[in-house]
Amino acid sequence: MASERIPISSSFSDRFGGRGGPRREIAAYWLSLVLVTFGALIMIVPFAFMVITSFKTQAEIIAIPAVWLPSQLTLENFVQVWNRTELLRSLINTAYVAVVITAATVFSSSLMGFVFSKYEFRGRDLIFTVSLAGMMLPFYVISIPLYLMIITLGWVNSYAALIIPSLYNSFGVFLMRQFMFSIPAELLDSARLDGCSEFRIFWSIALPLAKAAAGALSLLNLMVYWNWFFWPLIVLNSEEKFTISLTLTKFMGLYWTEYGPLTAGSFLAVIPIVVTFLFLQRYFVEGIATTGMKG
Amino acid sequence: MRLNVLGVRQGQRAMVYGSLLFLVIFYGGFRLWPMAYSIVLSLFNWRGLKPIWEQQFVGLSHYEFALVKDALVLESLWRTIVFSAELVIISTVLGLIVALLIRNHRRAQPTLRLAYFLPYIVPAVVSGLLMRVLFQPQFGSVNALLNIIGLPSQPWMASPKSALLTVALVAAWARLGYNVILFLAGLDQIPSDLLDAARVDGAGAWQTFWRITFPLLMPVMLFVVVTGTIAALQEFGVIYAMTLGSTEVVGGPVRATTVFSILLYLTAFSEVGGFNYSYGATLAVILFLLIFGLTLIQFRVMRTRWEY
Repeated sequence: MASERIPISSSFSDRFGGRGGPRREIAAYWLSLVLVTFGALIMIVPFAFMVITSFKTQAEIIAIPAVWLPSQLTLENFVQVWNRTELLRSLINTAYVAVVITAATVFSSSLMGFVFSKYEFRGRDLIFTVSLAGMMLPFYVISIPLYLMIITLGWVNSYAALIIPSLYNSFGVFLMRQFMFSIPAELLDSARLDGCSEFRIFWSIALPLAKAAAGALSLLNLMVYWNWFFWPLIVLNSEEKFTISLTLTKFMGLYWTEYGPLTAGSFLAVIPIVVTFLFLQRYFVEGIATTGMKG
Repeated sequence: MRLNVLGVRQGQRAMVYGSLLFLVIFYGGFRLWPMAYSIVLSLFNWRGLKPIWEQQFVGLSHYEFALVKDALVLESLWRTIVFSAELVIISTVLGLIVALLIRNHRRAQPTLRLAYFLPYIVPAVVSGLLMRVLFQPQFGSVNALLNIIGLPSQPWMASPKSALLTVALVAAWARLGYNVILFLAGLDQIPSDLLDAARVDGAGAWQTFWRITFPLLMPVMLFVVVTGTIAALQEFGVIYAMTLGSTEVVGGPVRATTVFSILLYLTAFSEVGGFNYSYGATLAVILFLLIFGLTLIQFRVMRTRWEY
């Protein structure tokens, strides 16, 4: 940050209209950098608090006046939360549910996006429009009947209750269709002339070309289902099936004054999704920039 | 197989009919059917898992009771609107300011953007849990910081007067980074020759912003406000985590944060409401209509005022 060069009259003055001398511009440049950095620090204070507290000893956590930086580091909080909850198990459960739903919805959304953009058949656009209405349905509206269906099907406290109702993803189909439109029809036709099956054309030609959209959709779904709370809260009821958010709330309900184990648990819940985000974030920013606005 | 109603080309039938079958089962079965079922539930006094002919039909009386007599529903509707307005206004205004400040710092942008976006990535429960500790009135760091700069401690979640604003602040903190990214993408699409032309004509920074940048950002603004409102009306995890006490009743203190989603949860899925599916479904349909109506109004208002 510090090594950033000051653009004397290039983009900065263009964007701000450029009245006033270069000195005023330089001042505005640094002032905005300071402001926005200060804001960024405020945004991450809770995470700094989380990381620091999770390594503090109980004595320093409850000390008054507050001890901001610990004098010694301990792993005691992690051991505590590990011993008292099914933490590892719920992390694995969450990863399992999130990955299965993401893989299935990205595949089905891509295939349907391909069908709805590249194939011609009667009623195509009408069917697509009806399927889009799913984006307008708040989950709460369907939650009660869905719960009754889950009871009838005998899926209470099973992952089928989480996975199967989530397999169709309106937004995913919409996103993939938007992307697949730009794939030239000649490309697909020439593959047809070479004797490619339709599924091969989709899998080996169309899907690789829509990689950016599929990446964005994957990340978005991984985030949504890693952080999923309302529906798992309703359909899961045994601790060995819990996802990470449920384990944390359960733990919080029982030990809500023990900040050490609570922050340690939060830390462990956050790491996997943040690491995933760092790996896939370029797709996400691209995806938002190119398609988010069209919604 | 001569029957080809949809006129699908040979070779593409498996893919087309496969997709349609998938759509019927998973969209029809797990989205449209439950939606219709919700409306049916709301017209009955549904008890247990008995078939429909053994249930008592009550017509629209649940709706009448909810919207005319039930103070809990009317209060929580109002709370939901206040909460959503606070959340959307704070996260939109701050999001735009941050995006405007951040975009000229090309080199620092990825790092800064990540810092603002981090709260959006983490589970709502984690945000709520951390914030609950930080906003704790006696020992929390937020009040400690206020005292350092000479301001008095605030009760935050401990008082029914400030609890709703506190959860709105936390939800806005979580939402801000998403809006920043959207506004940055919108700002990038503004053609720079327009801004150059304004400069040549002697427009100042303030004028350029209000006359050019702001109007051209209206489509993004629309998207941010509409999607933000829809998300705000359904906020659940943060409030749940910030208000969960020893009794499993959420939405406190004294219902101060019982927004519509929390009321629905308590009504249909907890001992408090006695697992009342029919009344829960009534609330769900009201929430759906609210979201639908607000979306239409917002689109109309923003379109008529800003199209040119």
